[in-house]
Amino acid sequence: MTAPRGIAVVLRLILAIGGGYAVAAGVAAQLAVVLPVLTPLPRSEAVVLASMLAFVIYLAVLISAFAVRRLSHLAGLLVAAGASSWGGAWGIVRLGGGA
Amino acid sequence: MEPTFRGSMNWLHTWAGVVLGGLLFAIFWMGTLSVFDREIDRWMAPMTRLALPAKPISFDALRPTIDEAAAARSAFWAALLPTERQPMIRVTWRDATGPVVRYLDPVSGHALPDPGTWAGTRFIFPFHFNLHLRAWNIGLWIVGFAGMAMMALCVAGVVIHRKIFTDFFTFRAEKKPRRLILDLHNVTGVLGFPFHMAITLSGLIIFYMTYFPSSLQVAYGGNNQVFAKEAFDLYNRPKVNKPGELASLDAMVAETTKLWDGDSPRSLVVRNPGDAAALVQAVRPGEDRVVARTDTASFDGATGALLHHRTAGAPVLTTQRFIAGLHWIQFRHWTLRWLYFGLGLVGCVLIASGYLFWLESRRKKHQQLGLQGVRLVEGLTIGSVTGIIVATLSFFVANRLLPPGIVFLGVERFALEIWIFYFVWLATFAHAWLLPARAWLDQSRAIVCLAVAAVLLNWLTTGDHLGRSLAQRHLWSVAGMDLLLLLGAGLAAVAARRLGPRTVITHDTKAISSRGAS
Repeated sequence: MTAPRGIAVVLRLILAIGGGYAVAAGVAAQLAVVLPVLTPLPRSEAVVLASMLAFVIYLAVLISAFAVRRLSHLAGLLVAAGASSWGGAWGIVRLGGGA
Repeated sequence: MEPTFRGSMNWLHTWAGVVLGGLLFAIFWMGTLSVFDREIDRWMAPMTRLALPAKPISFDALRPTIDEAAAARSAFWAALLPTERQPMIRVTWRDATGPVVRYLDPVSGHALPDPGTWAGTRFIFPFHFNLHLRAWNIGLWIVGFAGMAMMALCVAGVVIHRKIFTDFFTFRAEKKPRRLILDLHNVTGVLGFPFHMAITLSGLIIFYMTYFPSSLQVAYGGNNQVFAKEAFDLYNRPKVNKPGELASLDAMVAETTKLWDGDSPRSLVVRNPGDAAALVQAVRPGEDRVVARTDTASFDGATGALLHHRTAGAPVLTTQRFIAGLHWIQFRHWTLRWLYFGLGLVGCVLIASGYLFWLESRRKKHQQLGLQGVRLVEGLTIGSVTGIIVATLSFFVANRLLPPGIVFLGVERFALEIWIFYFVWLATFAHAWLLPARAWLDQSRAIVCLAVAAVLLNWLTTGDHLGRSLAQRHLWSVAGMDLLLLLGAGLAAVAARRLGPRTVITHDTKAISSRGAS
């Protein structure tokens, strides 16, 4: 089940760049709604902090995406991280903690 | 990716560098020049080489331009007041055709002749962050992506680097070119690492809301205005569509000066000019601190009464402003400004030497296997490195050669300069791909000729030769530009001299290798 080298590289690039962005944006969204609940930080401040931290998170995901050896592991990790961050953000908004 | 972490990082570093190096060089080059964007403005727009007046102008003398903005139904009128680096008044508003930018004499308030150039602040600086591709913010996203890649390259570079401490003190100029290039790449990479990471991350953080709007979308349900109100404490009010007059601007400025312990505003904005609900806003200067300060006093236009005073923002937002201010370097600190310029150039050398190392490590193998990779990447390297320098110098030379007010095929003067830049840049790529064996040498020689020509043309067309510009304080920006052009010409001449014999050897040993067989 190993893909040919060329296709594997393209898939990895899509996962790293696209998937990495989705995860970083998801973590930013989640932080923006979690921080005002857990800390005294006002909502606007949490938004700025979350978006700034997203760059560092994206960088970490990008680097790791090229270090993980198996593509299927990488895809699984990205889906898990994306689902938990976006799902968490969505859940908190639905519970009324965010907007 | 590869069996080991270091192997994976090596792969990432190599290929991200080869694919994105050209773009990164362009961004670093334009960013480095943007450190002196206003000095480039003085050089390219000689009508703005003015001494900063001792006595500030009466703001009420600017009213004719406010009336013009009101007649054009512009939502705003803004004046940037004279500073050491930009000694004239810059007035902007928007009419039916788009933004209007006008420069006024700081003493008389009369309009200066149209400079007919976008120079540093309107061409070089925006190129640095959006490549002048403004549709759907596509340029901003490309630069953002390159920025993320730059940080990934820096991190991967540190990982693959085995002896970071020893190599810091290693520069083996006597060794083979390939070893020398790697030493150069390592030294610039390690020496510049903190700067390159900080400048790239801070550049990205300036546009945090463009790149990562998910936080705002989720936390505010996408309501940007509520966020702007809460975060930035913005103050504005709608038009009432009844004509109105402005009270004394000087009186409002005097009141802000009192409010700010003697600081007088750096810029003055009139919202809804000509309307009874006009608002006058004075913005505080921030030249004495890193944080891009946005203290703003808002006055009722008709009565001159203070309506709202915005001071420092909340801590996280202030941190963001500090990071942005660190990147913009609009504060007054000439030592740091030169350091940014130097470290920016170190970044350019880092990228260029990375390309050279890639080329030198593969040249022989590609030759033997009949691969085109080296030829393709060498063309890309030459066009990206010497090519953009040649194009920038052509932009300067065209600026001094094009007569004022010229329109060619319906293209205005400022746009002609920009077309020349792009045309020359494209031509350098074509040159590099067609004549790879000569292109480094030819383009280095072109840099020497163009840089010297720029200095001579500045002298001929404005009379501000180095003797004069060095002697007068307000012409130091021009002197600095001329001196850097001459220094650049000197360095390019040394490069051309050293490249010269190598090309001759190449031609003698053509049968073995097209270049660099020694």
